[in-house]
Amino acid sequence: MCNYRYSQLILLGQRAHDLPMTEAEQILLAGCIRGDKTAWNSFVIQYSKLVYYTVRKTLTLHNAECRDELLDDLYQELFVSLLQNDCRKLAQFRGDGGCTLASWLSVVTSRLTIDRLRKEKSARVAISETLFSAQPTDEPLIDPDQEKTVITALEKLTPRERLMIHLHFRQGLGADEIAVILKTSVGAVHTQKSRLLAKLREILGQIPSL
Amino acid sequence: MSERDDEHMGWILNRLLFRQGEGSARNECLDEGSLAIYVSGDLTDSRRREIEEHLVACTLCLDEVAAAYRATQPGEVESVRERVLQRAMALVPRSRAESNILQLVVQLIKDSLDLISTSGEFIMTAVPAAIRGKGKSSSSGTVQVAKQLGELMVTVEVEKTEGQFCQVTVNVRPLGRAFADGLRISLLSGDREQASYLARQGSATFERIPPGEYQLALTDSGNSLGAICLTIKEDGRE
Repeated sequence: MCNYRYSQLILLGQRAHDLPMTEAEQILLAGCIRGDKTAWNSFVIQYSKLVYYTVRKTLTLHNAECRDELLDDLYQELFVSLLQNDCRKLAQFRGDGGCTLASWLSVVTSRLTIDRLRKEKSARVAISETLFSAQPTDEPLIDPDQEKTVITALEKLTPRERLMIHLHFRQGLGADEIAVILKTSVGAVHTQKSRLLAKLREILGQIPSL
Repeated sequence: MSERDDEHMGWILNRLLFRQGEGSARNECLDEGSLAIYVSGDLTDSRRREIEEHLVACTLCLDEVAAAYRATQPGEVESVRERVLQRAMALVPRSRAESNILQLVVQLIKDSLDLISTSGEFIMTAVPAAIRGKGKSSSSGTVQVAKQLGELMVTVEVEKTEGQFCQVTVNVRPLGRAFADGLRISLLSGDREQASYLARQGSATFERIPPGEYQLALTDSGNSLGAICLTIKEDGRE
């Protein structure tokens, strides 16, 4: 009766020519939201590896144990959450600003994983225990005053410099990866990193324990 | 400082940054869409700076950005067990189409209009006090149906006017919150937009509509509120 595919695009809140996402993504999402089982199966098959990988990476980053049961549980929870309330979550993806469905889905998956870890007390304990057991225990710890000095030093950096420190020391990303995320050149990251480390060395050099 | 001191400094920073992240609250986090655009989309310099200022202060969002970045890099391989895959595929998406679309099929028959089918509720209409349009109209020349689409009560009136033309009037009444930016009602034929009105009073009339298949899209600030699929069939006896 109607141009059914187009009517589903309308349900996504946009007209076809306004949609920046790819044609394949449009059709797939529209099908899922429409309740098309074939589209849903395709969606699950297409994005399963991405979801699984994101769950695993997020668990690893938080030093949580990557048990199969936990991975499977979070994987299933992600797909359930996309369908809840008449696919409300899935329909939130608009593909604005050139954003890909894969990156959006990864962020959603990572957030779900982090929130799950934060909710579970036992998991939080496990994170904390694993975190500290993973650190070298024979190294001396800096005292609270020294810690304050380092924090103050970090706070004096520009947001972009602090972000670089976070990405390198907290996320363990390399210069090439940081360059992609910060939309800058690898050379610029190397230069800035050297400068930042020199600055921190100067400050930390004043701490006697170092 | 020696190389060992550099490693020690890295260890201190790593530990401090993790410790800072442990107490982060979720209430001021950016929405997932903004973070995804930061990872893979295009942003203005000012918006990029805003997001980066937030990321420095919010390790939760930063972790999500890093995870999304890693997950979307080519060459990352993960295997998913068949049993797990099947369990996700067994989930059944509930159709929004049924609840958000009003379907209506009418047929022109001489001077009257017949209701062929609808997913809405047929409303019996009284004889109009005045005849609208140039053509002749009668009570049997009008079909009126209503349906609740989400938080809206939508009424569609199709009236036969002159020749093979119809006049379509859409009335929308919000059952919950008011429209954020005004209701827009657009008439589409295939992929073409025929007319579009900002219906501040919740009503729009489309005149001289020939037989064909149409969609009436209801939107508010670009967000879809529902759609009406209307088919007007020609008078087969002419």
